[in-house]
Amino acid sequence: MLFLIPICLHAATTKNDFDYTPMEPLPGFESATSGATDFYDYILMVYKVAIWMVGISAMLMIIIGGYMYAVSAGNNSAMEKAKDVIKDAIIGLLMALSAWVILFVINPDLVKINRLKNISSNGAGGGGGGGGGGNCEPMTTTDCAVSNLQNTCLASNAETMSRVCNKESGGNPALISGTDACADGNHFSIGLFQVNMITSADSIGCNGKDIFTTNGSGPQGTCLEHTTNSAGTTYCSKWDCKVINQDKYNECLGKLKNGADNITIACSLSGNGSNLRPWTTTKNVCGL
Amino acid sequence: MEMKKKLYLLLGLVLLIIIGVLFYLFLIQKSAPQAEKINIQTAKGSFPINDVQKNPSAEKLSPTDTLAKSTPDYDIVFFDINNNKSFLISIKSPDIESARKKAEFAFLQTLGISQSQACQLTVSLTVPYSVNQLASGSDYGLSFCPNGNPFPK
Repeated sequence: MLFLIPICLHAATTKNDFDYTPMEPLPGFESATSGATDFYDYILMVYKVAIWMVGISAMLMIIIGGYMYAVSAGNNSAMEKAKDVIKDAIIGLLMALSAWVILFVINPDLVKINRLKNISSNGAGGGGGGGGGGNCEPMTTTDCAVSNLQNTCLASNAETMSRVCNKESGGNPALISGTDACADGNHFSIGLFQVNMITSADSIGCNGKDIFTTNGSGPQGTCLEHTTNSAGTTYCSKWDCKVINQDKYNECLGKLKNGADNITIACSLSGNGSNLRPWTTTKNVCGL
Repeated sequence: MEMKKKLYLLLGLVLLIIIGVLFYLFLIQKSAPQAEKINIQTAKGSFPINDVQKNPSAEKLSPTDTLAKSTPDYDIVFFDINNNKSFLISIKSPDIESARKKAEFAFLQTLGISQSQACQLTVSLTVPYSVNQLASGSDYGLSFCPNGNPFPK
Protein backbone atom coordinates (compact mmCIF):
# COMPACT_ATOMS: atom_id res chain seq x y z
CA MET A 1 0.00 0.00 0.00
CA LEU A 2 2.79 2.36 1.03
CA PHE A 3 4.59 2.02 -2.27
CA LEU A 4 1.39 2.63 -4.20
CA ILE A 5 1.26 6.20 -2.88
CA PRO A 6 3.60 7.62 -5.56
CA ILE A 7 1.38 6.07 -8.23
CA CYS A 8 -1.82 7.32 -6.59
CA LEU A 9 -0.30 10.81 -6.44
CA HIS A 10 -0.22 11.01 -10.20
CA ALA A 11 -3.98 11.22 -10.05
CA ALA A 12 -3.73 14.21 -7.77
CA THR A 13 -4.02 17.67 -9.18
CA THR A 14 -1.35 20.33 -9.01
CA LYS A 15 -0.61 23.08 -6.51
CA ASN A 16 -3.37 25.19 -5.00
CA ASP A 17 -6.11 22.67 -5.76
CA PHE A 18 -5.81 21.45 -2.16
CA ASP A 19 -3.81 23.76 0.06
CA TYR A 20 -3.23 22.49 3.59
CA THR A 21 -1.10 23.85 6.40
CA PRO A 22 -0.45 21.44 9.29
CA MET A 23 -1.00 22.98 12.73
CA GLU A 24 2.29 21.39 13.80
CA PRO A 25 5.07 20.43 11.33
CA LEU A 26 5.87 16.72 11.26
CA PRO A 27 9.11 16.27 13.25
CA GLY A 28 12.20 15.45 11.25
CA PHE A 29 10.78 16.56 7.92
CA GLU A 30 11.24 20.32 8.04
CA SER A 31 12.28 21.75 4.72
CA ALA A 32 11.79 24.77 2.51
CA THR A 33 8.42 23.28 1.65
CA SER A 34 7.22 22.17 5.06
CA GLY A 35 5.32 25.31 6.01
CA ALA A 36 2.24 25.88 3.93
CA THR A 37 1.70 22.81 1.81
CA ASP A 38 -0.52 21.66 -0.97
CA PHE A 39 -1.92 18.16 -1.39
CA TYR A 40 1.38 16.95 -2.90
CA ASP A 41 3.51 18.11 0.05
CA TYR A 42 1.04 16.78 2.58
CA ILE A 43 0.97 13.29 1.04
CA LEU A 44 4.76 13.34 0.70
CA MET A 45 5.16 14.00 4.43
CA VAL A 46 2.68 11.24 5.31
CA TYR A 47 4.56 8.88 2.97
CA LYS A 48 7.90 9.61 4.65
CA VAL A 49 6.45 9.28 8.14
CA ALA A 50 4.82 5.97 7.17
CA ILE A 51 8.18 4.56 6.02
CA TRP A 52 9.74 5.53 9.34
CA MET A 53 6.78 4.05 11.22
CA VAL A 54 7.42 0.66 9.59
CA GLY A 55 10.94 0.60 11.02
CA ILE A 56 9.93 1.92 14.42
CA SER A 57 7.03 -0.58 14.74
CA ALA A 58 9.30 -3.48 13.79
CA MET A 59 11.91 -2.44 16.33
CA LEU A 60 9.21 -2.14 19.01
CA MET A 61 7.84 -5.61 18.23
CA ILE A 62 11.35 -7.12 18.32
CA ILE A 63 11.90 -5.57 21.76
CA ILE A 64 8.53 -6.89 22.96
CA GLY A 65 9.35 -10.36 21.52
CA GLY A 66 12.75 -10.27 23.20
CA TYR A 67 11.18 -9.37 26.53
CA MET A 68 8.60 -12.16 26.15
CA TYR A 69 11.41 -14.62 25.37
CA ALA A 70 13.44 -13.46 28.35
CA VAL A 71 10.56 -13.86 30.78
CA SER A 72 9.33 -17.19 29.33
CA ALA A 73 11.42 -18.99 31.98
CA GLY A 74 11.79 -22.13 29.87
CA ASN A 75 8.08 -22.36 29.07
CA ASN A 76 8.13 -23.81 25.53
CA SER A 77 4.77 -22.35 24.55
CA ALA A 78 5.75 -18.85 25.70
CA MET A 79 9.14 -19.16 24.00
CA GLU A 80 7.52 -20.14 20.70
CA LYS A 81 5.07 -17.27 20.99
CA ALA A 82 7.95 -14.83 21.59
CA LYS A 83 9.87 -16.23 18.62
CA ASP A 84 6.81 -15.81 16.42
CA VAL A 85 6.48 -12.16 17.45
CA ILE A 86 10.14 -11.50 16.56
CA LYS A 87 9.90 -13.49 13.34
CA ASP A 88 6.75 -11.64 12.20
CA ALA A 89 8.35 -8.28 12.98
CA ILE A 90 11.48 -9.14 10.97
CA ILE A 91 9.45 -10.47 8.04
CA GLY A 92 7.32 -7.30 8.01
CA LEU A 93 10.43 -5.10 8.13
CA LEU A 94 12.13 -7.10 5.38
CA MET A 95 9.09 -6.89 3.14
CA ALA A 96 8.89 -3.12 3.49
CA LEU A 97 12.63 -2.48 3.17
CA SER A 98 13.15 -5.01 0.38
CA ALA A 99 10.59 -3.21 -1.75
CA TRP A 100 12.39 0.09 -1.15
CA VAL A 101 15.89 -1.36 -1.75
CA ILE A 102 14.84 -3.22 -4.92
CA LEU A 103 13.24 -0.08 -6.34
CA PHE A 104 16.26 2.02 -5.29
CA VAL A 105 18.72 -0.40 -6.93
CA ILE A 106 16.72 -0.47 -10.18
CA ASN A 107 16.47 3.32 -10.31
CA PRO A 108 16.75 5.78 -7.39
CA ASP A 109 14.06 7.94 -9.03
CA LEU A 110 11.52 5.16 -8.41
CA VAL A 111 11.52 5.90 -4.67
CA LYS A 112 11.02 9.61 -5.22
CA ILE A 113 7.64 11.23 -5.66
CA ASN A 114 7.51 13.62 -8.55
CA ARG A 115 4.96 16.38 -8.83
CA LEU A 116 2.80 16.29 -11.94
CA LYS A 117 3.95 18.81 -14.51
CA ASN A 118 1.62 21.77 -14.71
CA ILE A 119 0.78 21.42 -18.34
CA SER A 120 -1.91 24.06 -18.23
CA SER A 121 0.28 27.13 -17.88
CA ASN A 122 3.89 26.22 -18.50
CA GLY A 123 5.94 25.27 -21.49
CA ALA A 124 9.16 25.93 -23.28
CA GLY A 125 9.13 29.16 -25.15
CA GLY A 126 11.45 30.26 -27.85
CA GLY A 127 12.20 32.78 -30.50
CA GLY A 128 9.44 33.90 -32.73
CA GLY A 129 7.07 36.19 -30.85
CA GLY A 130 3.46 35.89 -29.83
CA GLY A 131 1.91 34.35 -26.76
CA GLY A 132 1.81 36.08 -23.41
CA GLY A 133 3.86 39.15 -22.62
CA GLY A 134 3.98 39.32 -18.86
CA ASN A 135 6.10 41.96 -17.18
CA CYS A 136 9.33 43.53 -18.31
CA GLU A 137 10.60 45.11 -15.11
CA PRO A 138 13.96 46.85 -14.86
CA MET A 139 16.30 44.86 -12.61
CA THR A 140 17.64 45.96 -9.23
CA THR A 141 20.15 43.11 -8.80
CA THR A 142 22.60 41.11 -10.98
CA ASP A 143 24.82 42.50 -13.77
CA CYS A 144 21.67 43.84 -15.41
CA ALA A 145 20.66 46.09 -12.51
CA VAL A 146 19.99 49.59 -13.84
CA SER A 147 22.60 50.97 -11.43
CA ASN A 148 25.19 48.57 -12.88
CA LEU A 149 24.31 49.20 -16.54
CA GLN A 150 24.66 52.94 -15.89
CA ASN A 151 28.39 52.28 -15.46
CA THR A 152 28.69 50.51 -18.81
CA CYS A 153 28.42 51.38 -22.49
CA LEU A 154 24.64 50.92 -22.14
CA ALA A 155 24.43 53.89 -19.72
CA SER A 156 22.28 56.05 -21.97
CA ASN A 157 19.69 53.25 -22.31
CA ALA A 158 20.27 51.53 -18.99
CA GLU A 159 16.65 51.12 -17.95
CA THR A 160 15.46 49.85 -21.36
CA MET A 161 18.34 47.38 -21.62
CA SER A 162 17.76 46.23 -18.04
CA ARG A 163 14.21 45.34 -19.06
CA VAL A 164 15.48 43.51 -22.16
CA CYS A 165 17.97 41.55 -20.04
CA ASN A 166 15.30 40.66 -17.48
CA LYS A 167 12.97 39.36 -20.17
CA GLU A 168 15.67 37.48 -22.11
CA SER A 169 17.64 35.82 -19.32
CA GLY A 170 16.27 37.03 -15.98
CA GLY A 171 19.79 38.37 -15.34
CA ASN A 172 21.40 34.92 -15.51
CA PRO A 173 24.88 35.32 -17.08
CA ALA A 174 25.24 31.54 -17.43
CA LEU A 175 21.96 30.96 -19.26
CA ILE A 176 22.19 28.76 -22.33
CA SER A 177 18.97 28.95 -24.32
CA GLY A 178 16.99 25.76 -24.07
CA THR A 179 15.31 26.46 -27.40
CA ASP A 180 17.93 27.81 -29.84
CA ALA A 181 19.67 24.55 -30.67
CA CYS A 182 21.58 22.99 -33.54
CA ALA A 183 20.90 19.46 -34.78
CA ASP A 184 23.94 18.21 -32.83
CA GLY A 185 22.45 19.45 -29.54
CA ASN A 186 24.74 22.48 -29.13
CA HIS A 187 22.93 25.70 -28.24
CA PHE A 188 23.86 29.08 -29.66
CA SER A 189 21.99 31.80 -27.70
CA ILE A 190 23.97 32.56 -24.56
CA GLY A 191 24.13 34.79 -21.50
CA LEU A 192 22.49 37.97 -20.20
CA PHE A 193 21.26 39.21 -23.58
CA GLN A 194 20.99 35.75 -25.14
CA VAL A 195 23.55 36.72 -27.77
CA ASN A 196 23.31 34.52 -30.86
CA MET A 197 26.72 32.92 -31.36
CA ILE A 198 26.12 32.26 -35.06
CA THR A 199 24.54 35.46 -36.31
CA SER A 200 26.56 37.78 -34.04
CA ALA A 201 29.92 36.09 -34.54
CA ASP A 202 31.65 39.29 -35.69
CA SER A 203 30.57 41.25 -32.61
CA ILE A 204 31.53 38.46 -30.22
CA GLY A 205 35.07 38.32 -31.46
CA CYS A 206 35.11 34.57 -32.00
CA ASN A 207 34.63 33.66 -35.64
CA GLY A 208 31.29 31.86 -35.90
CA LYS A 209 32.11 30.49 -39.34
CA ASP A 210 35.02 28.57 -37.84
CA ILE A 211 32.83 27.19 -35.07
CA PHE A 212 29.58 26.25 -36.82
CA THR A 213 28.65 24.84 -40.17
CA THR A 214 25.12 25.49 -41.44
CA ASN A 215 22.96 24.04 -44.17
CA GLY A 216 20.18 26.00 -45.81
CA SER A 217 19.27 29.56 -46.60
CA GLY A 218 18.99 31.10 -43.11
CA PRO A 219 22.01 32.22 -41.06
CA GLN A 220 21.37 29.35 -38.62
CA GLY A 221 20.55 26.92 -41.44
CA THR A 222 17.15 25.51 -42.29
CA CYS A 223 14.65 24.81 -39.55
CA LEU A 224 14.54 21.03 -39.08
CA GLU A 225 11.93 20.82 -36.34
CA HIS A 226 9.11 23.03 -35.11
CA THR A 227 7.70 22.82 -31.58
CA THR A 228 4.49 24.32 -30.27
CA ASN A 229 4.54 25.19 -26.60
CA SER A 230 1.59 25.21 -24.20
CA ALA A 231 1.02 28.91 -24.88
CA GLY A 232 0.31 27.96 -28.49
CA THR A 233 3.50 29.54 -29.83
CA THR A 234 5.26 27.60 -32.57
CA TYR A 235 9.01 28.07 -32.80
CA CYS A 236 11.96 26.36 -34.44
CA SER A 237 13.52 24.03 -31.89
CA LYS A 238 16.18 22.48 -34.11
CA TRP A 239 18.24 24.22 -36.78
CA ASP A 240 20.37 22.58 -39.47
CA CYS A 241 23.69 23.60 -37.95
CA LYS A 242 26.43 21.86 -36.03
CA VAL A 243 29.61 22.68 -34.16
CA ILE A 244 32.78 21.82 -36.09
CA ASN A 245 35.30 23.17 -33.58
CA GLN A 246 34.31 22.23 -30.03
CA ASP A 247 37.31 23.97 -28.41
CA LYS A 248 36.47 27.28 -30.06
CA TYR A 249 32.80 26.81 -29.21
CA ASN A 250 33.71 26.34 -25.54
CA GLU A 251 35.98 29.38 -25.61
CA CYS A 252 33.21 31.50 -27.16
CA LEU A 253 30.71 30.09 -24.66
CA GLY A 254 32.96 31.16 -21.78
CA LYS A 255 33.21 34.66 -23.20
CA LEU A 256 29.42 35.00 -23.58
CA LYS A 257 28.86 33.76 -20.00
CA ASN A 258 31.02 36.61 -18.72
CA GLY A 259 28.49 39.31 -17.80
CA ALA A 260 30.76 42.26 -18.63
CA ASP A 261 31.68 40.77 -22.03
CA ASN A 262 28.05 40.01 -22.84
CA ILE A 263 27.10 43.61 -22.06
CA THR A 264 29.93 44.90 -24.29
CA ILE A 265 28.73 42.65 -27.12
CA ALA A 266 25.13 43.83 -26.58
CA CYS A 267 26.43 47.43 -26.92
CA SER A 268 28.08 46.57 -30.20
CA LEU A 269 24.94 44.83 -31.51
CA SER A 270 22.54 47.59 -30.52
CA GLY A 271 24.45 50.85 -30.86
CA ASN A 272 24.76 51.15 -27.09
CA GLY A 273 21.16 50.10 -26.59
CA SER A 274 19.57 52.51 -29.07
CA ASN A 275 18.60 49.83 -31.60
CA LEU A 276 16.69 46.82 -30.24
CA ARG A 277 16.54 44.95 -33.54
CA PRO A 278 18.48 41.94 -32.17
CA TRP A 279 15.69 41.47 -29.60
CA THR A 280 12.65 42.13 -31.81
CA THR A 281 10.40 39.70 -29.94
CA THR A 282 11.24 41.19 -26.54
CA LYS A 283 10.91 44.71 -27.95
CA ASN A 284 7.40 43.94 -29.21
CA VAL A 285 6.28 41.95 -26.17
CA CYS A 286 7.51 44.62 -23.76
CA GLY A 287 6.40 47.52 -25.93
CA LEU A 288 9.89 49.07 -25.86
CA MET B 1 13.75 -27.68 12.22
CA GLU B 2 16.60 -27.62 9.69
CA MET B 3 14.35 -25.67 7.34
CA LYS B 4 13.58 -23.11 10.06
CA LYS B 5 17.29 -22.58 10.74
CA LYS B 6 17.93 -21.97 7.06
CA LEU B 7 15.05 -19.50 6.93
CA TYR B 8 16.39 -17.57 9.93
CA LEU B 9 19.86 -17.57 8.37
CA LEU B 10 18.47 -16.25 5.10
CA LEU B 11 16.40 -13.60 6.85
CA GLY B 12 19.43 -12.51 8.86
CA LEU B 13 21.53 -12.28 5.70
CA VAL B 14 18.96 -10.20 3.85
CA LEU B 15 18.60 -7.95 6.90
CA LEU B 16 22.38 -7.47 7.02
CA ILE B 17 22.47 -6.53 3.33
CA ILE B 18 19.67 -4.01 3.80
CA ILE B 19 21.35 -2.50 6.86
CA GLY B 20 24.61 -2.36 4.87
CA VAL B 21 22.95 -0.50 1.98
CA LEU B 22 21.23 1.94 4.34
CA PHE B 23 24.47 2.50 6.28
CA TYR B 24 26.35 3.11 3.03
CA LEU B 25 23.76 5.70 1.92
CA PHE B 26 23.99 7.33 5.36
CA LEU B 27 27.80 7.47 5.13
CA ILE B 28 27.68 9.03 1.65
CA GLN B 29 25.51 11.83 3.00
CA LYS B 30 27.63 12.37 6.10
CA SER B 31 31.01 12.26 4.36
CA ALA B 32 30.36 15.49 2.41
CA PRO B 33 33.24 17.85 3.23
CA GLN B 34 32.54 20.83 5.48
CA ALA B 35 32.21 24.00 3.42
CA GLU B 36 34.28 27.09 4.16
CA LYS B 37 32.27 29.91 5.72
CA ILE B 38 32.23 33.66 5.17
CA ASN B 39 30.32 36.30 7.09
CA ILE B 40 27.69 38.18 5.15
CA GLN B 41 26.45 41.58 6.25
CA THR B 42 22.71 42.28 6.13
CA ALA B 43 20.46 45.06 7.40
CA LYS B 44 19.74 42.97 10.53
CA GLY B 45 23.36 42.07 11.24
CA SER B 46 25.81 39.50 9.95
CA PHE B 47 25.80 35.71 9.92
CA PRO B 48 28.01 33.01 8.37
CA ILE B 49 27.15 31.38 5.04
CA ASN B 50 28.98 28.72 3.03
CA ASP B 51 31.54 30.39 0.76
CA VAL B 52 30.19 29.38 -2.65
CA GLN B 53 33.27 30.79 -4.37
CA LYS B 54 35.40 28.15 -2.62
CA ASN B 55 33.02 25.37 -3.62
CA PRO B 56 34.94 23.04 -5.99
CA SER B 57 31.85 22.52 -8.15
CA ALA B 58 31.25 26.27 -8.56
CA GLU B 59 32.07 27.91 -11.89
CA LYS B 60 33.69 31.35 -11.91
CA LEU B 61 31.96 33.21 -14.75
CA SER B 62 33.72 36.54 -14.26
CA PRO B 63 35.50 38.39 -11.43
CA THR B 64 32.09 39.37 -10.01
CA ASP B 65 29.87 36.41 -10.94
CA THR B 66 30.01 32.81 -9.68
CA LEU B 67 27.72 30.01 -10.80
CA ALA B 68 27.27 28.31 -7.43
CA LYS B 69 25.04 25.48 -8.61
CA SER B 70 23.62 24.43 -11.94
CA THR B 71 21.06 21.72 -12.66
CA PRO B 72 18.66 21.20 -15.58
CA ASP B 73 15.95 22.75 -13.36
CA TYR B 74 17.72 25.87 -12.07
CA ASP B 75 20.93 27.90 -11.74
CA ILE B 76 22.07 29.61 -8.53
CA VAL B 77 24.41 32.55 -9.21
CA PHE B 78 26.33 34.62 -6.67
CA PHE B 79 27.18 38.25 -7.48
CA ASP B 80 29.70 40.44 -5.70
CA ILE B 81 29.41 43.74 -7.57
CA ASN B 82 30.98 46.82 -5.93
CA ASN B 83 30.90 45.01 -2.56
CA ASN B 84 27.15 44.41 -2.92
CA LYS B 85 26.58 40.70 -2.50
CA SER B 86 23.43 39.21 -4.00
CA PHE B 87 22.08 35.92 -5.32
CA LEU B 88 20.05 34.94 -8.34
CA ILE B 89 17.93 31.83 -8.67
CA SER B 90 17.19 31.30 -12.35
CA ILE B 91 14.47 28.79 -13.20
CA LYS B 92 15.26 26.69 -16.29
CA SER B 93 12.63 23.94 -16.26
CA PRO B 94 9.24 24.50 -17.95
CA ASP B 95 7.68 23.06 -14.78
CA ILE B 96 8.44 26.32 -13.01
CA GLU B 97 6.51 25.62 -9.77
CA SER B 98 8.30 22.37 -9.06
CA ALA B 99 11.68 23.80 -10.14
CA ARG B 100 11.19 26.75 -7.78
CA LYS B 101 10.67 24.48 -4.79
CA LYS B 102 13.74 22.42 -5.65
CA ALA B 103 15.82 25.55 -6.26
CA GLU B 104 14.80 27.23 -2.99
CA PHE B 105 15.58 24.09 -1.02
CA ALA B 106 18.96 23.75 -2.79
CA PHE B 107 19.67 27.44 -2.12
CA LEU B 108 19.28 26.93 1.64
CA GLN B 109 21.44 23.80 1.51
CA THR B 110 24.14 25.39 -0.67
CA LEU B 111 24.53 28.33 1.69
CA GLY B 112 23.88 26.30 4.87
CA ILE B 113 21.32 28.80 6.18
CA SER B 114 17.75 28.83 7.50
CA GLN B 115 14.70 30.31 5.79
CA SER B 116 14.67 33.36 8.07
CA GLN B 117 18.36 34.02 7.34
CA ALA B 118 17.73 33.63 3.61
CA CYS B 119 15.02 36.30 3.82
CA GLN B 120 17.64 38.78 5.05
CA LEU B 121 19.77 38.30 1.92
CA THR B 122 19.32 40.00 -1.44
CA VAL B 123 17.89 37.18 -3.54
CA SER B 124 16.21 37.46 -6.95
CA LEU B 125 14.25 34.63 -8.52
CA THR B 126 13.55 34.99 -12.24
CA VAL B 127 12.36 33.01 -15.24
CA PRO B 128 13.87 33.54 -18.72
CA TYR B 129 11.58 34.15 -21.72
CA SER B 130 12.64 30.91 -23.42
CA VAL B 131 11.43 28.95 -20.37
CA ASN B 132 8.08 30.64 -19.76
CA GLN B 133 6.92 33.70 -21.64
CA LEU B 134 4.27 34.72 -19.13
CA ALA B 135 6.43 34.41 -16.02
CA SER B 136 9.50 36.05 -17.53
CA GLY B 137 10.51 39.64 -16.83
CA SER B 138 9.71 39.77 -13.10
CA ASP B 139 11.55 39.12 -9.85
CA TYR B 140 9.51 36.75 -7.66
CA GLY B 141 11.85 36.49 -4.66
CA LEU B 142 11.88 33.51 -2.30
CA SER B 143 8.39 32.06 -1.87
CA PHE B 144 8.76 31.68 1.92
CA CYS B 145 9.82 35.30 2.47
CA PRO B 146 7.41 38.20 3.06
CA ASN B 147 8.43 39.77 -0.27
CA GLY B 148 8.00 36.50 -2.21
CA ASN B 149 5.43 36.45 -5.00
CA PRO B 150 3.69 33.53 -6.72
CA PHE B 151 4.09 32.90 -10.44
CA PRO B 152 1.26 34.20 -12.63
CA LYS B 153 -1.47 31.66 -13.44
